Amino acid sequence: MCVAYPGTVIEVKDHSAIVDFTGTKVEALTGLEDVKKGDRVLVHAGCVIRVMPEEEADETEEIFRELASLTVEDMKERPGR
Amino acid sequence: MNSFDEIKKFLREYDGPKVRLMEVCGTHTASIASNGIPSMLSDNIRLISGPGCPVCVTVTAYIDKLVELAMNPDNTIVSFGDLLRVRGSAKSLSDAKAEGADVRMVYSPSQILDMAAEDKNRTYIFAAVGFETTAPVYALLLEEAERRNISNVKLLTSLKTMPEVIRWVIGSRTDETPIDGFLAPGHVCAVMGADMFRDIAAESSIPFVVSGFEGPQILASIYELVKLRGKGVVENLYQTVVTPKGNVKAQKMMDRYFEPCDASWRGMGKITGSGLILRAQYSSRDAGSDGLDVDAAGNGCRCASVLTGAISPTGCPLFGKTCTPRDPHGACMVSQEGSCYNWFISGRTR
Ligand code: SF4
Repeated sequence: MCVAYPGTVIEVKDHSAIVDFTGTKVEALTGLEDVKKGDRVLVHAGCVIRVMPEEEADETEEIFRELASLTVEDMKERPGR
Repeated sequence: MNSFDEIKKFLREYDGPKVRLMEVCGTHTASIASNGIPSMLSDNIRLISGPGCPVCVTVTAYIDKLVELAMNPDNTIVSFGDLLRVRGSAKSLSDAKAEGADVRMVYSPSQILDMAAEDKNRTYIFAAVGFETTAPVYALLLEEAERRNISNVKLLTSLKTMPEVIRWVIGSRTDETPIDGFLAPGHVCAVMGADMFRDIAAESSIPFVVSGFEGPQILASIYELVKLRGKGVVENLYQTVVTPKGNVKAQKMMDRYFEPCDASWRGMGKITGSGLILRAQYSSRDAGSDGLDVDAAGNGCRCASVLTGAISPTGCPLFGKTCTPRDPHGACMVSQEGSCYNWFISGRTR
């Protein structure tokens, strides 16, 4: 039911959008998020459930950027814990 | 100590206290299997699947009701795939279809709206199973139906929510089957926000790490969980998609159409406040979802123990013998998100 990777909005209609997943195009309802052409979006069960922030190019790259702030030493004193 | 190679080395060579980690979401279960993650972990790190496969946790009374509705020649039952082969107390939707019932598979709610708009003489009933990720989709479906004036679309709901079932799973741990961390469901959190697990983490002293679905993301999350063992905190390693508060628009849409209810789970019984049902003002859209509690799965299936992490799929005497994806006994072997299915197709043994 869940496409775990994002697609790109290539056309916006009134209540839906055409989303391209590396060549496979699907129509997804847009009532749960405001989308525009070029947005990277997560589609679940035929609906856009999330628009990704624009600057994040690569999920896998991003995870290591996130992890880079987590050294074992500062686990103890990280703010917000 | 943060390059990917170092993380992999740490997880492979880990010889600290044994940890058992539960991945809650069925999409994680499938990704863990297809990426071969169990074989990359030390013997002291075990992954168990939780109750997050929507098809797997559905009780037989719900399937029976769908079959009953399907046998009415005025109805069409519409479903997202996986549910068709799950048997109720006697039959599955596939069986009903073979007997002439109109049962169709779709990929999106728009399809059911188009079908219903073109054929006003039939009632189109959507088998609405799922968690907080999918509930807003059904809400949107109903809103679109109202907007387009399509009155012949209804839902038979078996919608579940995460927090209370996780509390139930935590409460049913034993000394032999502890849970030291949760790989939190990424897409439920995309909708509800990572904060949804803060209270549970704090009250149980069990860490939750919100994880993406790629192999490296899952490995990084496992690494975090091992490091956080014993700490009741929530860590978000899926920040490209998950924010602390989630998709507020989707939450509002869900709230407009649904209210919390007590829900029945396969093998776990009725859990207070663990589901969603249509609000009274939308009862004309409900095909009879209330009171579907009977859970009569028989034939030796141990799905209930698998779903709560008490046994792994290979601990079921029927696994791979009389129960296979081709001839599944239980929902966990039917669904592509089910742990029995995923253990079987990936040859996973631990
Ligand atoms: S292997 Fe089959 S019978 Fe055993 S628990 Fe899994 S689905 Fe049920």
